[in-house]
Formats: sequence, structure tokens, C-alpha cells
Amino acid sequence: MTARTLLLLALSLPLCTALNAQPTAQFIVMNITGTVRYCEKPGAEQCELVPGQTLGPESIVTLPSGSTARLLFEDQSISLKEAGNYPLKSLAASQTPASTSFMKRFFNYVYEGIVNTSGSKKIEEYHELYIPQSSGGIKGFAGGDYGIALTRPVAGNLPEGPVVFEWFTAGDQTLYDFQIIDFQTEGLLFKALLRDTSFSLDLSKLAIEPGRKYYWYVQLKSLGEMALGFPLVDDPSMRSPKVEVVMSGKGNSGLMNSLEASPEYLEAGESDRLLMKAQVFEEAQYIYEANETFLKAIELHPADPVLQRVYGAFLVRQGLWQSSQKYLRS
Amino acid sequence: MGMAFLRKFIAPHALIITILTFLFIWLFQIFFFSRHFLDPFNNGLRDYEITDIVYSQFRNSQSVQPITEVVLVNCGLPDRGKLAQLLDRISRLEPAVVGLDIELAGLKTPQTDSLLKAAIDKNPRMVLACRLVSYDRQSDLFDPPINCDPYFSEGKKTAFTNFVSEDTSIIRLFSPGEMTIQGPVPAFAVEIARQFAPEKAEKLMKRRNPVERIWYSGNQEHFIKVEDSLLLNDATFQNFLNNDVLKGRIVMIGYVGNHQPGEPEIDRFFTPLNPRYTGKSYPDMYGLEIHANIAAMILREQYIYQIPKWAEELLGWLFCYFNVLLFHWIYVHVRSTFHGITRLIQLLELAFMFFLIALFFYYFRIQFNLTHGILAMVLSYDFIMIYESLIKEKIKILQKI
Repeated sequence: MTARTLLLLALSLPLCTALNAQPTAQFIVMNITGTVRYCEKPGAEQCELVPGQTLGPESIVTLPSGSTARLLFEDQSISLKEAGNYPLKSLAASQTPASTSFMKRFFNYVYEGIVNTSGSKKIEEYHELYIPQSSGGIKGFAGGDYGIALTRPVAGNLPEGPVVFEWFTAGDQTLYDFQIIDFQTEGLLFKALLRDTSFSLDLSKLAIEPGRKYYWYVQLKSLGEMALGFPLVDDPSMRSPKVEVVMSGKGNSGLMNSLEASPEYLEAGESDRLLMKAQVFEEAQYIYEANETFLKAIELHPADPVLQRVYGAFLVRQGLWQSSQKYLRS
Repeated sequence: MGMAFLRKFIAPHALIITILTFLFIWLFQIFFFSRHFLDPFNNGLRDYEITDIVYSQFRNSQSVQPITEVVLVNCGLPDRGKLAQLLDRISRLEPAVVGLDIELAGLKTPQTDSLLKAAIDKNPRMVLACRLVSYDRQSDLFDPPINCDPYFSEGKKTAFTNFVSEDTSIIRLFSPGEMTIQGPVPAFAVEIARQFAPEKAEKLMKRRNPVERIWYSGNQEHFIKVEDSLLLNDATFQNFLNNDVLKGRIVMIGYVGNHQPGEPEIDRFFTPLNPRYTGKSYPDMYGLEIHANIAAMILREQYIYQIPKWAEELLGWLFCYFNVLLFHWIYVHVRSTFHGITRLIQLLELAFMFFLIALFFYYFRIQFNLTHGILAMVLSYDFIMIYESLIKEKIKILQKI
């Protein structure tokens, strides 16, 4: 090998390196809510993503409904809020650095200050523009004022395992944003965007703390409004009541012991037994199970008017006026 | 001889006007700024500094420089059992230092307390939060800090989480350490920084400032934040183990919400980063984020340099004096345009001074307060008029100078 060949090789090496250079910029995962998955390259196995992790540009992030992720690419903060697959390569390409110099920001600030000096005058002149921004007073919180009425009471102590959440329809062109929130911290525990008015959820699969209080509710969304943003104003006419629930980790197996040993229970007929059980459940605030027991009794004796009225009264006690009408009028 | 020397270097009229102007400002501050009718004006502006605008308006909000030395763990409002579980898991992720911003006042149930104690002991470099309450002015000492039961703090470092501010004012300062009856107690972030990099904390101590200004590197967007549910979930925890996310980093555990409307107003404060830097607004930062900013500031040695008070006053006097000199010259030589030119110069100077203060703070973290100088410059126009048309007319000796 001659000195000339060596020289050529040495010169061509940086050129080859430059041509083969891949974008080395990485994404840093800054924050995650819910469960977010990723794969290192298309077709690779999906793994769960954790904050602090770094991802290469070949990775694809998969965001299920209700989860969010905040990534940092170079010096750009990227918030992922809507469900879907996000190839980071295209996400990186879509980022346009919009940084401005200190001088520009300074002069923008001074200019804005000069242009927007007549604040109160401007509000007077263009008051129509400003009216929607603030409103005094709140809407009534009586049961009838909620935009979504519940069908099935899912309140109080909840058992482990699948629970069916149900509500009345609010029109065809509607989506329902179902949420379970931590009562103390207001932290989101579960969120799902639904088309149906019924939703079965196995609570044991959620990171639920037994004995801790949560609440759930359903928020109206129109079909065009797919973003799962946080509503700035809490408008009861756009949602169901917020129902408090406590996850009962221990279950309620011991609840019926004394009832089942009592002579009244042993002498009672089948529907009476179920009524007694429902009452014990209700007294212990196992509202969901009380409701299921009532339904079981009605299923056994659909023509029993007393049973229907007792159940109707139970629904009234739970604030489900609309559902109760069917049973009370019968 | 004396008068000639004075005349050579100092313009006596300008000097007298400067003195009069500062005298007025001094009297105004004493008698009027505490008056009730000025309260809305006073309250609105009292808790405001020009540098707040630098933080809230001139920072490049589109450019996020991550603060990766610190990871924030949001534990919500946990019971001790859950906290023990969380600490246990965090210790398995081998962080360099763990700061627990949860006050452990008193004992609850023996089972959970012993579990928590065991979890605390698993973290070799653990800093526990306590609170300073009663200060005795005579002895210049605090009472022993509260809200950290000795059962938990035995053999561990405790540090106070108090900030230096009035009840609702902006958090700009922190105290590196305070002296209690039992001995010195460091600030939470300072102790965490000391555990992580002792030499950096030593540099802070060498500055010997009783209070330090906080250099805010960022808000919630700049920190890696982990929800406790992710750490407590078995599957996700395995991913934390696999990816060494917390290894070798500072982990600060506390309540850090998502800055969403409707969240409980717990441990939230106003900082200069608030987009609304005056008047009414919402608190913009959680206490833990402020501690994290302080720790980052110490580790990166990004201190704010405050010009001494005497130097600020001197600068203010010089600034006013040279302005009076200029305006007085205009008054004497081009009296017909005095009003227009002077007001124009004042406006330009105001903008320039604002620019200069912002520039020094933004690029060099040098802060200087020229409020007196700027106020004097604004008033100098009126005082030249008062001096020339009233004082000089009445006091004959001034005409001979």
C-alpha cells in the first residue's frame, strides 16, 4: 500500500463517517401519567415506558386513551395527550426550533406594552370578546341539573372484581369521558373515552389502594372534541354527579354471617331473604352489591309490586330519580 | 480656593438639586408610603422586582434545558405504610441522595412506624424534612425544629423546609442554614446538595450570606417527575430497575401536583417565574420544585450576585447627578425645548436602564436595584424647575454660587 493510497483512505474516512451519520439526538421522558408503551424500532417488542428513560429517534411511543407523556427533544418540550402511535423520527422532524434572542424578546415585550396600554378601554370597546372569559355564579347542583343521569348506583364500598358503570344516553353524537379520581389528591386513577353508556371495569386490575376514597364521573364530549383535556370550568350540565367510592380490599364475606344465622332469615322465603341481604348491604354502604341483590330478587319475582317499590325507594335514596320512576310507577 | 476646586469638579447647582431630590424621596418613603390610601399601589408593587420580568417574560420558554440531576417523585398525600413501601422501592433503585419532603411528626401505629423507620434506614444518604417555628430575637436562636420525630431522624440528617418570605409573597430567597438552641440546622436543599457534592455546598457556605437569592433554572417542565403509582406497580418498577433511571441521582419525594385547576392548594407558592408577575394570580410552583431549583443552583454554582446596597445608592446618586447636570444644562441653554427634550431623554433612559438591568441579570446573574436612581431621574425635571423658579429666587446666596 503506497503512501498515496493511505492518504486517500485517510481523507475519505471523515467523508464516509459524515455520510453515515445518524441523528444522535435523543428524547428524554420527563413525565408520564397512566401506562405508556414504546418499542425501540418498528416491529420490535413493546415495553412499558418510565420517566427518566431516553429514547432513540427510531423508537415508537404508544399512548393509550387517558394516558399522557411529556418528552424532551433537544430543548423542545413535547406533550403527548391523545391516544395513538407516535414515531419519534417524525416527531423530531416536526419540531421547529422557535427560539428567539433575548433582544427580540425584550423588544417584543416593550412593543406589547406600548400596544396594549389601554387595557380597560379596550375591554369597554370590545366587551363582546371578553364576556365569555368570566362568569359570576354557578349552576345549581340539584340532581336534575346534571347533564348525565346515572342508571346504576356504583357508590360506597365496592367489591373487588368487575363492576358495571351505567348511565343514561345523552344523544347519539356523544362520547363519554369516564374518569376515576383520587378523592384526596385529585390525581387521575383511570380515564377512558367511551361511545357506550355502559362500561364494565375490573377494579382489581387498577392500582387502587383498599380503604382509600375515590370518586368517579362521566363527562360529555362531542364527537368532534377528541382531545382529553382537563375542563377549565366544572359545568355539572356537562357531566354526571361525582360519586364517591371506597375500594373494599377485604371484601364483604363476613357481612352476612349474623344475618344468615338469624331465625327470621332462616324462616323467610327466597325473595325476602334477598331483600334482607340487600338491606344489610345498603346499611354497610355496599350500595353496588345491594343494587345487584335487589335486581336478583326482581328477576326471580318480576311481578311482585312490593319488591318493585322497595327497589324504587332504594334508587331514590341513591339519588337515581330517573331510574326509580320505572319501579315506583309500576 | 475650596469653592474653585468644588466648581472645577462638581457643579454645585446640580449637586444641590440631587440632594433635594433624594431628600424628597427619603421623606416620601417615610411619610407617605405607609399611608393607607396608597395601599393598593403599594401592595401591588411592593412584592415586585424588575428581575421578575426577566424570569417571566424574557426567558426563552420554548427552549427547555432539563435539570437531570434531580428527579421529583410525587407521592401525593401518603400514609406511612405506603411511604415505607415507596422508600423501600426507591432504595433499591440506588439513588445518590433521597430527600423526603414529608414531615413525620409524632408516632402513629407501631407497625407502620417501624416499617417506615426500616425503609428510611435502608437509604444511607437520606435527608428528612423538619420545620423551624419559634425564633427568639434576643438570643438570635430558633427553638428546636419540629415535625420530625426523633424515632425517624435518629442517625439521619434533618433539614428545614422553610422559605424566606412573607405569607403570600414571592419566594426569592432561601436561608442556607439557621442556628437553633440545639445547634445549626441546614436548609433542605442545601443538605441534599451537601450529601450529593460536599464541595459544592462548601462553596455556598464560603459565600457567608445569611440569605441567598434563588436562581430558578426551571419550572415543572424542566424536571423529571415520577408518579408514586409507577414505582409501586410491580411491572413498571422492573422497568425502573432495568433502565437505572434513579441511579446516582438526587431523588426528592413530596407532593407535586400537575398544576391543574381544581387541585388542592397544598405546598404551592408564588415564584418569579409566574407569568403574571404583578397583581392577582395563582401560585405557580410546588415547594418541592423550589427545593429542587435551589439544589440545582448549588450544584451548578449558579449564584445570583447582588450589588452591595452602598454601591447601589452610590450608583443611584451618580445617575441622578449626571441627569440633573444634563437637564440643568438644557434648562439654562435651550429653555424653550426643555420640557420636550427632557421628557424624551427620560423615557429613553428608562427603557435603557430597564434593558441594562434585565441584560445583566439574564446573562450574568448580576442583580442591582436602581429604584432610587430611576425615581430621582424622573423627579429631577420637576426639581430643576422648583429650584430655579422658587428656591434660587428666594435664597440669594444660591445665585452667587
